[in-house]
Amino acid sequence: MSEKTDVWQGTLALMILKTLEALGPLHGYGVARRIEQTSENRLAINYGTIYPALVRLEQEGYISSEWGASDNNRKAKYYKLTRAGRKRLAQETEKWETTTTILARFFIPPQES
Amino acid sequence: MNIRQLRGWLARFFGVFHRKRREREFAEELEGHLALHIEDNLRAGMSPEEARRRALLKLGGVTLTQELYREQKELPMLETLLQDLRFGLRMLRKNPGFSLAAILTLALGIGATAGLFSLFNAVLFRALPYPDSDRLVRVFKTLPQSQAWPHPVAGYFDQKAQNTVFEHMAAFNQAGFDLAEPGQPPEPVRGMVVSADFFPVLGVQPLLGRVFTAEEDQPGRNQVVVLSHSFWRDRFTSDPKIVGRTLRLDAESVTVLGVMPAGFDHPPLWGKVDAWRPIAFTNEQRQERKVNTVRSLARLKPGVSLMQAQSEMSALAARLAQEYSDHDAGVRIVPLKESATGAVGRNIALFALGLSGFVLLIACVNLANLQLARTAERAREYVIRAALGAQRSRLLRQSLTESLLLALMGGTLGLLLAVWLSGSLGRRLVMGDQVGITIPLDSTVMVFAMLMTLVTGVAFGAAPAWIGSRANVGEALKQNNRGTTAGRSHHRLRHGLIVVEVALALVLLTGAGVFISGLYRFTHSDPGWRVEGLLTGVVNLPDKKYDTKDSRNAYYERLQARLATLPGIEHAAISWQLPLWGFPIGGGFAVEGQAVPPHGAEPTLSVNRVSPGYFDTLGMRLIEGRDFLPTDTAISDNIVIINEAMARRFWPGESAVGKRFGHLDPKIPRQEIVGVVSNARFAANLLSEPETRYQVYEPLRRKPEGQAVIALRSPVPPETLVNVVRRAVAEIDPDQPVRNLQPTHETIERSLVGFSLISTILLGFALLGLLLAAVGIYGVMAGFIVQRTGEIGIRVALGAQMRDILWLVLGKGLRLTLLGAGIGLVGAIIIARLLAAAVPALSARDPWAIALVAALLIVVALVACWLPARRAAKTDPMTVLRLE
Repeated sequence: MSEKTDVWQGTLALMILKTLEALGPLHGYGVARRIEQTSENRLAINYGTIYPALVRLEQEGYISSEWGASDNNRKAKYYKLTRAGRKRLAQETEKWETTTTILARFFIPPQES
Repeated sequence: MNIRQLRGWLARFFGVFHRKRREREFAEELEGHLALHIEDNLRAGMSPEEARRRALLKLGGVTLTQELYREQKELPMLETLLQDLRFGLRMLRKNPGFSLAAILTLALGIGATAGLFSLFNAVLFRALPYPDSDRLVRVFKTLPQSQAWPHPVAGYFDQKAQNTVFEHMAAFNQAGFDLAEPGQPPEPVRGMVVSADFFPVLGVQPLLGRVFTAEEDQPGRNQVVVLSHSFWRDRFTSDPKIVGRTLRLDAESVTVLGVMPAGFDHPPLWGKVDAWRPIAFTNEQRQERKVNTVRSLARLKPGVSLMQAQSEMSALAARLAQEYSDHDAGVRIVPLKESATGAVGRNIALFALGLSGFVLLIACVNLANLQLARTAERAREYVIRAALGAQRSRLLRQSLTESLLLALMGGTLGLLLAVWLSGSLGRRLVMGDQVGITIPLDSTVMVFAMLMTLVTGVAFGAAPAWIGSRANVGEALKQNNRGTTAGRSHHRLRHGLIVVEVALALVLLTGAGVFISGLYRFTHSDPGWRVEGLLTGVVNLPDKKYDTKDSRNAYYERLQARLATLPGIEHAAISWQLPLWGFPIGGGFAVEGQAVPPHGAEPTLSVNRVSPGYFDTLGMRLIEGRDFLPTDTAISDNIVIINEAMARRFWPGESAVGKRFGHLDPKIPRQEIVGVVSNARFAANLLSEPETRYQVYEPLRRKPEGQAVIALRSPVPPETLVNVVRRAVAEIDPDQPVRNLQPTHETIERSLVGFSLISTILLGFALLGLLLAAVGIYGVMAGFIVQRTGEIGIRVALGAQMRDILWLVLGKGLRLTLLGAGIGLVGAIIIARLLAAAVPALSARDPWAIALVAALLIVVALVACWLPARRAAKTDPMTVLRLE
């Protein structure tokens, strides 16, 4: 049970990092919204679960936060990637690519010629 | 765990602090989140209510989000721990009386025990600073009257040559030297004379230079000395060029061969040692078989056990005893570690330690009682909390935290007390001539104290939660707020604890009382000679200068004559010993004209050599016959004076004067008795047999040793004479100082200071135990009354008088106390017997002591019951019944 949670937590963390890389500094609501959108609404998450994940990423030093003003001059906390975060993202991306490449061979039969 | 994770954990740890601020910040963030979402929803066309509803729904619940946030932000476990701690502290603050009582109880119990424990640790159990110190043993000669006697020199050499169980064997004795720097008065130096293998036995290499060889351990070649580290540091300021330096020691030029490392001299074992010189037996001394002067120690061969060595040495000793008619002489091997205090000393120490353990037990029982008293109220609280959904484990944990807090506070205070105690005790302890040793509070003590703390805390802390979590909620809520949730068994337990406490207190008080009264009896009983008004000193004639019997006799006679004429001196005498610790044992003897006693039952004598005037100086009575006279020179080899006990035993009903007796060795001439004097008890030796041995006094002339005691009786305070005496001694021989010039009663007091110290401690313990027990009884009785308040109110309403109520309470208390006293009595008698066996000098049939102690305890207990009873009897029935 907790293993599943761990995997989910890891996945969510990656998605957050990727989102921040793509969109630049963003507040929690924005990140959650964007993740839902990117998954084409196939992932239905409670927005609240973003926050523990954000906290953890910040504690581990992959992102940093800072108070700022949103478009409508609302006070919001903005998160952005740190250098460590970028590095992590690059590592995970590479890992994912390697994994998918290998797995692809199993699930997609090689083109017979 | 990689660095990122570590950073994560640290961040979580710090997240525990400044919680309010963080929560406020997050609340703001959430507010912002919702606002943004609501705006988007509004823009999408929803109504304000719908927009808000959807936003909240999508968030997943504000409270839940906040909780998830909190869990990630902080460390939940730490959080609960902190919560428990805060709660525990608050609870303790709310009940200051209980908390204070519990902490003090713990502190006193733990502190006293830990303090004593560290003291005894330092003295008894600590390993010696020598390699493989478990292999080191003392070799004692045993006689019917002593288990720790020295050997005759020849006997030592025989043992050394003929044993197969020792790797090395060495001889030693305590000694004093006189260091005379040019132009300065001689200063006394304490040390030892040792055979050359002393250092190999102990197995420690010198720090500087070397130790002496076998060649140097001979008369004429022994002008060498090895210094101790502390002496080198203090007297010679750690002079690196000390080796090879010449010192003037005992009127000869002596070369410093080396310096031993720090700690080698180990005062708890050897006393104060500044220097070691070779023991250098003369040929004459090597033949000595009768007089027992030399001590020995040895190192067991590898693979040889203590038991093996003991049995072989006993057999060897039996053989030698047979050969040399030294009957009843045996040998006892004791690990060096234990020999520091001797069996009796060790028993006393263990006895005191045991009693202090009793104090700790009483303290623990009190603590248990205190806890149980609160269980009633607390249990109800816990029951309700359990009903409201609190987890049982959490409740238990909280209760445990609270009591652990208590235990830790008590333990810390106790540790501080222990530090202070061992510090002040150590300062007052006398080791040899050194007053005060440092007693480090070492890790064993810390561990011991902490363990006690933890066990106490855990054992007695969980009760309320345990009981509360098991009880029935409905029942708990039904009872009036003074009732209990645990019922009868809980109170029986408390009453049982009171019985135990009273029993323990009785044993403690008895033990202390018997010891103290015994000590008092000992120190105030008539020693048979007058201690007051006596000034004594020691002179030590160097072998080189006074190598003949005649030269020594001449010196002593001149000295005595000079001292006797000093103003203020009534009598002066010179002798081998004073009746302080004991006289050396001479061989067995047989009385002329009487049957030779059967083998193994020959009486032995303690022998002292004295100058004329000794008995007057000491204030002993001359019962028959006469003292020695200066004119006895021709016959001095054949005359003796004996003591009353001996005269009565062997010549009952007749005058012993003129009778003769002889040693079993026919070569020694028969002795004729010229006088009988009163018995002299050894005033500084608590550890000797109570009955006076047969004492024989020989003329000093017969065999004057190099070391002698001068005794001066004077009506003026002895302290004022010290300088006069010093000058007089210097007149006879300027190189020859007199040492340890002090009033005799001071010497005795210093010897007994260890025992009086223990007495004080024991008295303190006893009173402490008594106080704790009284407090405990008071507490239980008060609780008992609270429980029965309703009943008491009804009784009063029905016409019970004050004294009826009083009797109700007192009766209960009295029953418990008597039961406890009865049990304790058994223990008390056992303790008294144990003490009598361990320290014969203190024993006496003293049933009054025990009875007195028991009576005291019962009175105190009754007072402790009476106070709450009085309050109860004043109960207003209306108030009580209304609260039902």
